[in-house]
Amino acid sequence: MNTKELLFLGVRHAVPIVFGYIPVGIAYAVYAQQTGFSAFETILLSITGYSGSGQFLTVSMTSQNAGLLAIGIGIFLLNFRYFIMSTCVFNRFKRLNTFKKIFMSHLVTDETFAIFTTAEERLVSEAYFIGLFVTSYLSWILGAVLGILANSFLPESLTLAMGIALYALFIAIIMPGCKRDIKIFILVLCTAVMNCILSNFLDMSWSIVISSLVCAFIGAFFIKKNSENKRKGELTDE
Amino acid sequence: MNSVSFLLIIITVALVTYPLRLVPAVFISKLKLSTFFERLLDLIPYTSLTALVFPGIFYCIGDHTYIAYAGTVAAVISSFLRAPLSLTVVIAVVTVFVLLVL
Repeated sequence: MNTKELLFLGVRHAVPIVFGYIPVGIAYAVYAQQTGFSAFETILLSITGYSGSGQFLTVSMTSQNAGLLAIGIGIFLLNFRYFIMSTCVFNRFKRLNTFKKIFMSHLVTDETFAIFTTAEERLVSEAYFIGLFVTSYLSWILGAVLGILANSFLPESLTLAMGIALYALFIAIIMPGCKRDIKIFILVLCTAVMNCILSNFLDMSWSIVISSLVCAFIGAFFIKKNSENKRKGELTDE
Repeated sequence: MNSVSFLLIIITVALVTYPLRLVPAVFISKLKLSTFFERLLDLIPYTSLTALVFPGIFYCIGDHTYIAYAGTVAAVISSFLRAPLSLTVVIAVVTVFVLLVL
């Protein structure tokens, strides 16, 4: 395949990601605006933070007046998975020079990682990478821009209702793991209960950090590798 | 909160997130982690997303706690029945929207 075809194929493989990113990007921007982020700050966070759950955590912690340290630690924990994903993506793509990696590594997300690391070997190329990753990135930013526009002309009850969008997305992300492995379901349940209780006594942001770390730590003693999801399974095949 | 601290927050998030993606790409060719650490990394997305959702979801529609409950139930049922991610999001939003308008 020539470069143009690979680029086009990358863009085409980004389409399902785009369909997911635009609505969530809109919901994020509406939420950020309601929390007091300006239009510029809302888009800037999408450009520099580029992570659905990370940005959501940032905005919700900000709305609870969390300190910079708590936000930094929370983001570190939540986004640490990118460390692993980036390892896998660039392990598959070693021939790329360092200068390009400096820019491209920023575009690694759960979704682009999933598609790139499971793509056929013959597709692994700079053109395909750019088609897939850049299209996804641009759609995420476009979502934030549309969200800012939406916030000003949508009825208030709809923008209020969109506040639940990202929560619903996270429930949908957690659910398959809970259905597959009862231990994960129990872990999720314990984390929810612990955080509901802890948030009465602690600042919400610290409560989130502590419950997620403590529960994952305890869970790691009981939940073995066979409970990994399919994507992680392919990850170990690398 | 004023604009300066919002920008500080955005910078903090970028300074934490970008190195997590950059460091393995540039410096690590093959990473070997302990089994326990790998398990921990697998579970953190579950626990951190759960802690993000509960109890926050109950307060996401302002004072309308019962509407938030309904939206939560809608999202749980929809994802349990394996609806695509974006459909679950739409179902939850529409549920809340309809109840708000009624």
